Amino acid sequence: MDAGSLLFERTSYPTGRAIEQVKITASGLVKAHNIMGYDAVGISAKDLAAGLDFLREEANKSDFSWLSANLVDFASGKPLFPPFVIKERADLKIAVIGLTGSDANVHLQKNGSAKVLPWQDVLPALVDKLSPQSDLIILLSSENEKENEKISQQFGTINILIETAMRPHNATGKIINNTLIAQTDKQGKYLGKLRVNWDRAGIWKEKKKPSKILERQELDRIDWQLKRLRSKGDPEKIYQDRPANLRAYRKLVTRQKELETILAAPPSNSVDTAKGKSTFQNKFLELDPKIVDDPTIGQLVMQIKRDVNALGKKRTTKTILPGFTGSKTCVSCHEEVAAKWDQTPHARAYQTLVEKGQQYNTNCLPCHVTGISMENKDKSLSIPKELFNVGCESCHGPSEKHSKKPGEAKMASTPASSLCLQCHSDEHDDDFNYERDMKLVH
Amino acid sequence: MNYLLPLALTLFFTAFPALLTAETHSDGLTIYYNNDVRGETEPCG
Repeated sequence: MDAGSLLFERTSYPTGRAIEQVKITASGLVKAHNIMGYDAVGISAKDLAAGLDFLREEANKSDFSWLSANLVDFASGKPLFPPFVIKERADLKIAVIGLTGSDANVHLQKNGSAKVLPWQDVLPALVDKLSPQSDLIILLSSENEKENEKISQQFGTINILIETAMRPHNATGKIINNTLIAQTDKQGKYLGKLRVNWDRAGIWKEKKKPSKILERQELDRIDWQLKRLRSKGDPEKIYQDRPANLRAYRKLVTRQKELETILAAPPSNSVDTAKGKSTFQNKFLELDPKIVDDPTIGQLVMQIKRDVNALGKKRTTKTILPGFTGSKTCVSCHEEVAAKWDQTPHARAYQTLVEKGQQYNTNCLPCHVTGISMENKDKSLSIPKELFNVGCESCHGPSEKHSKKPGEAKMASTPASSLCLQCHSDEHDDDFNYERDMKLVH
Repeated sequence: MNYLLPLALTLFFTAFPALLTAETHSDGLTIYYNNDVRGETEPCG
C-alpha cells in the first residue's frame, strides 16, 4: 500500500503541456501499481494536482482502492472516495483507512467543489465502527507529523500509521500509544517491508515504560528536595541574600507545578503496552541497480516516455529568452575556449536526449539546454536551436549585454558548485566532483 | 507404562500454550508500503 503523493510531485501545475505531460506519467503509475498488485493508496494533496475528475478517472482504472475518509463534496459533505477498505490476509481482517492532509484545502478552495474535513470530525466514528469488525487497523495518512502523533495519542486502536514523507529518510517504526508509525524515503528509492506477528488482543509489545512514570519519578525527587529545603525554614527568606540558591529553589518550585499539572491531566486513551504480544520487523528494501528490471514494467515505462515526448513535440511558436543569445555569439571573441567546449559532452547534451527519444520531455530539457531551469521548464519546448545544449551562458550567464559592451558588462568567470549541482545531482551524476570535473569543461 | 502417562501430560501441557497462542496469534502478515513515490524531483532520460 501507499500512503499518498503517488501521482504528482507538486500540488499544482500550470495549464497546458506541463499538466498534460505529468498526467501521462500519472496514468502510467496507476497501470504499474495495478501490475504490482497494490491493495490501497491514500489520497494526498499532491494526488489532486490534476483535479478531482482526473483522479476519479484514474481511480476507475485502478485495481486498488483510492482511500480518503475526509475528502468530501463541499455541498453535501459526503466522501468522494471510499473512506476505508477491509482486506483479509493471513487470517486477519485488516481495515485500511485513508486520511487526506488538511493542506489540500489550500488548492481545493480555489475550485470550491470539495474540501478536506479535520480528522477529528471523521476518525472517531470511523474507528469505533471498524474496531469491532477488524483485527488490525491501518491508517494511510498524508497529514503532517505532529497531527499524526496526535492521532496516535488519541486512538490506541489504530495499530499502524503509514505517513507521507515528512522526513527525508526511511523512518524505522516508532510506537506511540500502540500505533506503529512508519514511512519510507521519497521517489520509491526504498520499499518498506513490515513483517507483523499479530496477536488478536491488538497490543504491540513494547519495552519502554509509559512516559508518565518518568514524570512521576521526577516529581518524587523534587518533592523530597523541597521538603528538605523547607525543613530549615522558608527558603525565600533564608536565600534572600543568595540569589543563585534562590533561583535554584524557585526553579524547583516551578518544575513541581508543571509536573503536577501533567500528572493531573485527564487520562488519554493510552494503551498499556506492557503486556502486549504483537511484534514486528521493519525493513527497507533498497532499489538497487542490480535488481533486474521487470520486462512488463520496463515496457510500460518506455511507452510513458514515448507518450510524454510525443506530447512535447507539439511545439508552440519559438521564444527568445531575454538576455540569452546562444554560444555562437561568444565564439567570435572566445574562439579557442569555444573550440575546447565543442569537444565536451556539454556541447552534445541535447543530442543525448534525441538518442533516447526524450528531446521533448520538459523534465529532461532544463539540464540539456541553455537558459532554462526547473522553475521555467515549460518554456524549454519553445527555445530556439541556438540555445540547445549546455552552452556558454549556462555557466556564465546571459551574454547579450556583454556581447555589445564587453568591457563594461562582465560575466561570471567560474560558476559556483551550486550551479553545477542543480543538474549534476546525486540522482543524475553520483560520481560528480566539482573540483575534478571543472577542469573538464573547457 | 506408568511413566508414559506423566510424559504425555508433560508434553500436552508444554504444547497447550502454543496451541492457544496459535489460535489468537497470526504469523506471516507482510505489508509492503511506500509513500511519496513522485518525490520532489523527476527523473528523466
